[in-house]
Amino acid sequence: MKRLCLEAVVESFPEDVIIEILLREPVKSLMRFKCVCQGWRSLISGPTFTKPLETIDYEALDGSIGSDGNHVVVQARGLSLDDACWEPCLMGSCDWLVCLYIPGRFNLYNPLPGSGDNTENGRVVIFLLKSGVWRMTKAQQVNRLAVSEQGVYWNEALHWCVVDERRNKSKIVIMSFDLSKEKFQQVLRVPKVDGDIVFEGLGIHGSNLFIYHGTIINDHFEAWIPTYTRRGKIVFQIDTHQITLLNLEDDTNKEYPIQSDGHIESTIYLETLVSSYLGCKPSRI
Amino acid sequence: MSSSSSSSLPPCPKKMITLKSSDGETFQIEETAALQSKTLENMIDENCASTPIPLRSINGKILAKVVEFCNKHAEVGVDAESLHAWDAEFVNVEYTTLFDYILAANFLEIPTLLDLASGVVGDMIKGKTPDEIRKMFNINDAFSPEEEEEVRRANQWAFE
Repeated sequence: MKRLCLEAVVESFPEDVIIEILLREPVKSLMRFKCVCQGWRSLISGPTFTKPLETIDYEALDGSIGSDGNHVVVQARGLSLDDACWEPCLMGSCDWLVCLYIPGRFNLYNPLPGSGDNTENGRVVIFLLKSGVWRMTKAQQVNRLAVSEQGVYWNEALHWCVVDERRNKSKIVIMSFDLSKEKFQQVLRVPKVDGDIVFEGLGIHGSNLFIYHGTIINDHFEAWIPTYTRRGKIVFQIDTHQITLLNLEDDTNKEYPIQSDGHIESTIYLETLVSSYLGCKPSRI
Repeated sequence: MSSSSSSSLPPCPKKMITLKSSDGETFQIEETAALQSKTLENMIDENCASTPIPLRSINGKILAKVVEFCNKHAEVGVDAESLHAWDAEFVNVEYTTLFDYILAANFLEIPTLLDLASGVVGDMIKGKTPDEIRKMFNINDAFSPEEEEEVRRANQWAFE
């Protein structure tokens, strides 16, 4: 509880009030306000502002990324690549970083020049980019899995659903790239799914990462949406009659039968997937 | 210290509490309206609200407006549109008054008022220069010219 007897504080704003106001400012104003005084500078450079900004403030930036000329997003300042026919694919973004993928390599891009001078945050040091230059990561992708889709940012890493074709058999796995360590991380195994998979992908619902698959069985479309929870358990909806809960810690399965009209339910799940992904905002820390 | 005399109003179906400003003015506010303030809610829960509550950081002029705001937002049957218009009129004041609203809302923990007033101030300062900000917020511990130049250079694009 707050102290009830406050001395006159009208002359100076408490820090949380300043934060309350500054959180509403576009990135460009914040960068300018770093010049106001040491206190504001530390505040704006600190974790409150380097962390919880929900998205890149695209409006504060100019130019565009990629070939979608009508859609102004982020100016790719100072980007020079060997390939003339460059077609980058936006893999995902988090905080103030954008990750682009060109076949064979990843590019991490910070569109805000000099925004990362907070040495307390290891990640920001790594991505301290002067004048918004591009920078190649030297991360080794040990298992040479091909990434083709936009990654999903979760738990400080980008995650992709990829096909692992090693050992002469093809299986779907989840691959992740830790943005703070600039390292590809272990691949998470995805259990076997029956039927011909026509698509798969990752999404985020609340604090959970989940994977969905689509198959075509008897002309019906079905989507299976397991949930990878923080507690280390994965919920798979194996088909319309059964849910399996996989405990990652001891690798045990638990099966739960469900009774409903599968076709309708699959549709509902897919709707849930789409809307929750679009509406998902990372929580402020 | 504080007097223990309770309100001498005739019995009333509505529970009232009394707030006392830094300059000694007292204000009556219905408990239901006061509950918008988490600080007051805590005091009510702990039965500390039977005597006038001294608010030493809020003067009478501001406290009157805060009470007015809480009363308006506790009214039943106000449609969203007219409340929105009322709010807009409420914050159509000098920024110094807005700062007082913000500080009062922060102390009393009234999220609706804090959000409203911070939003207006946030809009106000968007295009301002560091100098203008320093004046507005009465900040005296500015950088030395060399330091400021350095910070400025590192963030040059934001000044263009």
